[in-house]
Amino acid sequence: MDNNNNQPLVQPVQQPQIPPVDPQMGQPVQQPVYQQPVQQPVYQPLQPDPNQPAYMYQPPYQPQTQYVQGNNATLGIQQADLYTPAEQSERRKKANILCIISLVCQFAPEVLAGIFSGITESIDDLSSNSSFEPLTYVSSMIVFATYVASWVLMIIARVKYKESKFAKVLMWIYIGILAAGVIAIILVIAMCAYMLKDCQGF
Amino acid sequence: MQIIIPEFSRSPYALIVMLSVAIGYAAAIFRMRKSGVNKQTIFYTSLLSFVCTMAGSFMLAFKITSEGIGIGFSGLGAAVGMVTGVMISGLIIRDKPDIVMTSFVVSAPLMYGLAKIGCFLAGCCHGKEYYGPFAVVYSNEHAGSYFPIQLVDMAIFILLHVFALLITNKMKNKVRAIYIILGVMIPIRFALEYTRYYHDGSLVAPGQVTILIAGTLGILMIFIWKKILKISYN
Repeated sequence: MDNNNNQPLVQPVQQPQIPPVDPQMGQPVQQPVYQQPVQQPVYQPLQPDPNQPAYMYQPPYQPQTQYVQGNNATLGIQQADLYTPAEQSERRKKANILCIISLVCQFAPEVLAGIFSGITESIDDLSSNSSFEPLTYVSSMIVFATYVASWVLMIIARVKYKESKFAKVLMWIYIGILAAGVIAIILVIAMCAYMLKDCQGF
Repeated sequence: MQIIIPEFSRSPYALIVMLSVAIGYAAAIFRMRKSGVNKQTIFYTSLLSFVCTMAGSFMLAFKITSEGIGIGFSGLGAAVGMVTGVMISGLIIRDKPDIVMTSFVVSAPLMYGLAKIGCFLAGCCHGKEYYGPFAVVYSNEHAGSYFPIQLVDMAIFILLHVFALLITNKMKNKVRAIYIILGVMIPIRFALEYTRYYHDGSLVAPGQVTILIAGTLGILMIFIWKKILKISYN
């Protein structure tokens, strides 16, 4: 910039109007002499470069903290850390209750099927009618409902109390029993087909 | 021109049904992943719906009688079981339940259509006696020459699956899309029942009544489920 006065573009340093007087000496206190006036920073208005996109002049983007989205199932370990030890033991108790009821329901179908078979057989002995048709459907529904209930309770325990080891172990046990059951059914069907294919007139 | 089905030493029916269920689940899981559903949700939903499918299919054919315990396999029970499992899972884990339900409802006709290949090879669910072109001839316990209705079933249900895919992708209101899919699937299934060999020729056979009841119940359950979960689209 052309400057006829040869002075830098600065604000002049503010000098005190009345030099302070030293009370003892009665003479003005030597003011410190600045060899150079203190350079004040110069702010020039930013000229946006039309070639650059405007957002470059904004402060760098700070991504907002993303809270964990989704459901209880994702909160896992963090969930346990949020609770005090007293709360943790309370949660463990609730998870254990859910898991124990689930375990009872998992093995109840066999027992219930046996009981219902006994009841149906004794009713059939007593009455001269043929089998109680509605009773067979109701009893099979109860048997399967308890089995499904065991899975539902286990999944509730896994989702609500993800830190519970009992629920985790129970889940893998159930998966193992289910896989074994499916394989067993396949083997039985295959075996029956193999044994019966040689039978005449089947 | 006849389609002659040889007698198999080991019936492929069970294997093909299991494969079709596996393919259907894989399609549903893929669709859920693509829609951004949580992995935990997918895992628990698939587990529970599989358990309920097995329970549903055996429950309608598991009879505790005085002669003993009879066991069988019911396709309608499997479908009801699968939808029940997905519903229960949606109530426990409330993570995009409408997308989860849509994924399974869309893959259901695919499973059914592919399972019909097993029916075609085993000879069950065959049509009425027919001796024209493309008649299928069996020499096992279903010996005879029949109309290849299993192939027609397969084609129709795979087309239904494609229709369901298109409609759920296009519509933002997923629950309405589910209603439309069920509204189309139930009458088609009802109509196809007329072509089965066991249909007695009456206007509404017992099997068709079951289909109507199950279908209406399914739509009602989805309606109640939507209200409980307060799913709404603006």
